[in-house]
Amino acid sequence: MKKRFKLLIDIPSSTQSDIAFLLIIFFIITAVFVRKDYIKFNIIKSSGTEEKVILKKVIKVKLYNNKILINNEQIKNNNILLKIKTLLRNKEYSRNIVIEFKKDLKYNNFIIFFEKISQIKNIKIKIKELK
Amino acid sequence: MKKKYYRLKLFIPFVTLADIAFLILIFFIITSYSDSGNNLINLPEIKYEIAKYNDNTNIIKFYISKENIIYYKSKKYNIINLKDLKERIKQYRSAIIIADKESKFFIIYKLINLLSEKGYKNIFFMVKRRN
Repeated sequence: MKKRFKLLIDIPSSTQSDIAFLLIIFFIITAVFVRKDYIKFNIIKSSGTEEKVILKKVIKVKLYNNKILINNEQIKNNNILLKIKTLLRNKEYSRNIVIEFKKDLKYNNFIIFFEKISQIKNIKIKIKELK
Repeated sequence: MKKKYYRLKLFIPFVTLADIAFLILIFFIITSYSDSGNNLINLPEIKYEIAKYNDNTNIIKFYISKENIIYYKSKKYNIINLKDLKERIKQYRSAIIIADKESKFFIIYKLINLLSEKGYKNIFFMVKRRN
């Protein structure tokens, strides 16, 4: 007579919690906690009459990928804030800044510049495309 | 008469420990995948200016890849079909722009104009803090 063997499949449930804990440790270590930081940009809709009232000079900034011009003068990255602040101290200038950018300008270069000027309070910024 | 002292029996339910472990495990698996979309976008780095945004209600999020494609509610938009996006956007007050640092500022400028027309007041550029 032939002997029949039954295949017994047993899942080791006692070690299940150990595996779970190992996986938890793995996920805790590999988890990337993204700190969310932002730069705020307030939109003010300009009315046509507003521009006519301003009789003072306006600071004009031209943004390129490799250079920044402030009132047609090339400024180094480190001196941007200082240059704008000195211009704003001059009573001939209003607290309006016109930013003109080249179409191929990278977003990163804009943010680098924008971070600097957002440290100056009470200024209005107008963004235009450079033609 | 002798005083009766009650012994405080501390009991840790080891039976439910595995269940708790699995719950934590599921949490970590889900959270590790939910933010994976952000990892594809290389955010610009800044040093100083940081704005906090805590209110997650009534906010709209736009993802912009380095290929200058705008992702909004799992649909793709580019400079050509930007008008279609205008029709889909809800009217809120604030928007978050999560753009790759290599993307062109021109597309973001167009998006800002579009949001301005829709009556948006605040725009937050998501950035990474440089250490």
